[in-house]
This record gives sequence, C-alpha cells and structure tokens, in this order.
Amino acid sequence: MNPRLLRWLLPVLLAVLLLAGWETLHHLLPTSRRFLLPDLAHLGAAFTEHGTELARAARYTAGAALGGFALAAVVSVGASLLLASSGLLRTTLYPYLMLLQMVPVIIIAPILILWVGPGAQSVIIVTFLISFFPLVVNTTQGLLSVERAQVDLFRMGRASRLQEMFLLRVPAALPYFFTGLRISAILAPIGALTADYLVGSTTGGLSGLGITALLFSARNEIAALYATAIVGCLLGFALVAAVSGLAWLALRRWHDSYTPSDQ
Amino acid sequence: MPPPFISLHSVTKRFGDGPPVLENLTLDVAAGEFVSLIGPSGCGKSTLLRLLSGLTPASSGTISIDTRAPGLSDELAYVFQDATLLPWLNVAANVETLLRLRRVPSAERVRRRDSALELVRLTAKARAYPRQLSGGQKMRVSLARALALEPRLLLLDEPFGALDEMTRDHLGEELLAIRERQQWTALFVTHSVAEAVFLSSRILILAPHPGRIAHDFPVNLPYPRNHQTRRDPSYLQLVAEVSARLRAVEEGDDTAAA
Repeated sequence: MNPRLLRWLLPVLLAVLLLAGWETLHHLLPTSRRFLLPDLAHLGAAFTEHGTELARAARYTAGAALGGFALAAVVSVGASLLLASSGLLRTTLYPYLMLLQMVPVIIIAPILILWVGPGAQSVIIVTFLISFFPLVVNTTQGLLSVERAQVDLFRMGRASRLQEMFLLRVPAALPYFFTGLRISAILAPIGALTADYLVGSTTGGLSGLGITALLFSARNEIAALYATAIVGCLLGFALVAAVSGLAWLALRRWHDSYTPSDQ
Repeated sequence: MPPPFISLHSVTKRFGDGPPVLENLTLDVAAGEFVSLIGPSGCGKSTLLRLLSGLTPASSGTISIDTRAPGLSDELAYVFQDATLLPWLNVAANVETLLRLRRVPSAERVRRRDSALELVRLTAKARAYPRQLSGGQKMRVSLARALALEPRLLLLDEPFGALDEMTRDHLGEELLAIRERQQWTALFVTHSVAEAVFLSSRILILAPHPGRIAHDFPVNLPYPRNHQTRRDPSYLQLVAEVSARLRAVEEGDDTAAA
C-alpha cells in the first residue's frame, strides 16, 4: 500500500475505532450511570447547543494562550542570551528561574488577583509563567551546546563575542529553541484554560474556556464539559501545528531531523 | 640569510600544573616548506599547531611567524580533523564564514569564495548544504574555507584522518596540485607515514612524554608528485625508513637508526 496514504489512513482509522469504543462503552454502562459518558449524538448536540458560547470562550482563551506564549518566547530568548553569555549569571539566576516554575499557580492566582485583578492580564501572566521554563531551559542548553571545534574555528577567526553569539550559537540553538517552543505550545492552551478558571473574569463575554467549564460543571452539563475539553485540545493542536510549521521552515534545509527519506 | 618563516625557540607547553606536553622545542621552518608532524599520541603534534595558531600561549620560549607573534598574523588558516562546517549554511556561505568574521567587503569575499571553490573543484556544489555532501566533499569545503583566507601558513590537523584510503589519497594529490598554483607553507599533522612522505618536503617525528622532536627528515622527492610517485622506489624506501624510525620512537627508543 502507498505509504503516504497509510500515514493519513492509520490515524483516521484509530479515531473511528476510539469513537466506536466510546459509543460501546456508553451502552455498556448501567442506564443510571450513562450520563457520565454521553453518547456521540448528545456530544454533537452539546456542540450545536453551546456553539456560540464555546466559540466565544475559545477565542478568548486562544488569545490569552497566544499572548502568554508569545511573551514567553520573546522573554526566554532574551533570558537565554544573557544566561549563555556568562557562567556566573547562569549559576546566580538559575535557581530563581526554577522558582518561577515551582511556585504552584494555585498560590500565585490569589496574589495576581490582588495585584492586577481578575481578567485577561492575569490569565496571560499565568500562561507566561507556565510556558516560560521549558523554553528558557532548552534555548540556553542549545546556545551552550556548540561543538568545541566550531568554537575553536570562530576563536581562530578572531570572532568578536557578538559574532560568536549570533553567527554560531544562535543558529546552532534553533533546533533546541523549537523543541522548547513545541513543549510550550502544548502547555500554553492548558495554562490559559487553567488560568481562566483561577484568575479569569466572570464578566459575560470576557470569560474563556476555564470559566465556561466551571459554569457547565455547576449546571451538571456533562456533554458540554466534554465538548469544552475537545475545544481545548483543538486549540493545543492548532498551536503545536503552527509551531511545527515554523520549525519546518527554519530547519528543513539543514537539520538532520528533516532529512529527506531518500538520502 | 633571511630569518626563517616560522621560528620556535626553547618552547615548552604545559596545561595547568600538568607535565609538559612539549618541552624545549626548537624548530625553524623556511617559507614554502611542507612539513609533516608524525608521532605516537601524546607527543604534542596538535598542541604544536594550536601554539602556532595563537589559540593557546606557550608556557615558555618564543614563537614567531614571519617575525611576528602567533595570533597576530592574518595570513594563517587552520584545517581541523572534522570538517567543522556550519550545517545551517550552504557550501558557498560556509566558505565565506571566516572572511565574514574578518569583515572582508562583499565583492572581495565573493571573488575569494569562488576561486577557493574552483580550487577544490566544488563550484557545482556551491548551493548544497553540508548534509548533502560526502565526507571527502565536506573536507574539500573545509579546505576551501581555509584557502579563501589566502593564507601564507596552512596548519592542517589530521585533515584526512577520518576518510577512507582512496579519498585520502585523492585529496592528498589535490592538495599538492593546489600547492603548485599557490605559495603557502604547510604544517601537516598525520598518523599515516605514507601520507607524510607523499606530501611533505620534510618530516618531523615527535616523541612523547614530554613531546620533543626525535627525528628531522628531508624528503628529497621532486615535486610535482602524483599517483606515479607512490610507485617510485625512493618513495617506498623512505616510507620504510620513516616507519622503522617511528616504530623505534613508539617503542621508547628515539635514537635508534633505521
């Protein structure tokens, strides 16, 4: 069979199997418990019934996720350049960078609400905090993981520190940067959704998927909750796909992970 | 008599508090010589090249290249054992890398790049990326990158060591062909006696612990040399002689005659 066709067919086939399994599981449950796993028809109905609500919340969460993600990308590049340029700076700042990741969002949330108030700004800050760490760790690692002989080449060419950084270390770090970006692209929508739940604004029209999930949960609308989860996943997929596209553009010509199969 | 092109006087090199890697080394090389350095590992051949490149300073003694201290000469190029090409740049941009670092103006850069690529016969591959090249082609790009500097001194640290024998022989012949068209002095580190004899006008056998010159051989085979040279009886005799001396050095007896 054509391998290209197979590559598309297999995931689709798996999706059909999973949906069939879901439906079967629904019917295997005792009638009184079936509401826990709504059948596909009810799930579809939840999408049409809450469509506008979900779309608006998704737009809001997508915006916040993108905002926090973009902020994390920009700040992490700057921070990585600093960290990679000095060992002293690295040992001094690294523990505090870890601190950013270690303090639980549940604790940061009430503080943020006091400082900046509930709403988009707080959601973006939380998303930033969640997606920043993998980016800065990977990018710094990349900037430092240049082959010794290539550094020697630059030193013998009497390259300035700036030349060594921007003509050697930065391009060499691109694959690492994109690895970090991919991890953060998965974390950012989940982060934005959770952040909305914790520090989002409940004002109508200004709430995201987190608050929406909270409302569905309060109203016991299980099918709608599942629909919210699916929308959240789709946001994650979209962001990861966008990042993979960027990585492809930047790396396909030279990086081994994009070596054409005929080589 | 003009001063020698390269001059080392009582040079000792140690790293930190360690034992000397090179001790009390004195050596003169005239302009245009092709000198091979051969010897067991630990004899400091690569260290000697690094001292000349200015990448690391000598612990004591003096080194001069064209009467100047190493590291100040613009006319020196280094070829590593690995091709050390930048994988994100195509062949043309790789050849230009060092010129770019030196801020050579663009028109001059292009001229030197094209002529270096022509010398290593890779003009057709200018737009290819390193991963599309064979090991031998990568090494030729690396050589072109060095030649683009239009060096007067070429330091080669086992440049063909990672290649198969056929490719290695071809590249050796190409290197000599380029040398016919250009004026540079070469210091060439190798593990292959045959390669050293084929390429050099002079061979230094170094002994280890501490690194020092055990033997200094002239190679009186006429240039230009080509694949015919490898069948020349005096070539074969020299290979045998150098091999015997090298073996004696490896067994710890540097003064034994062949």
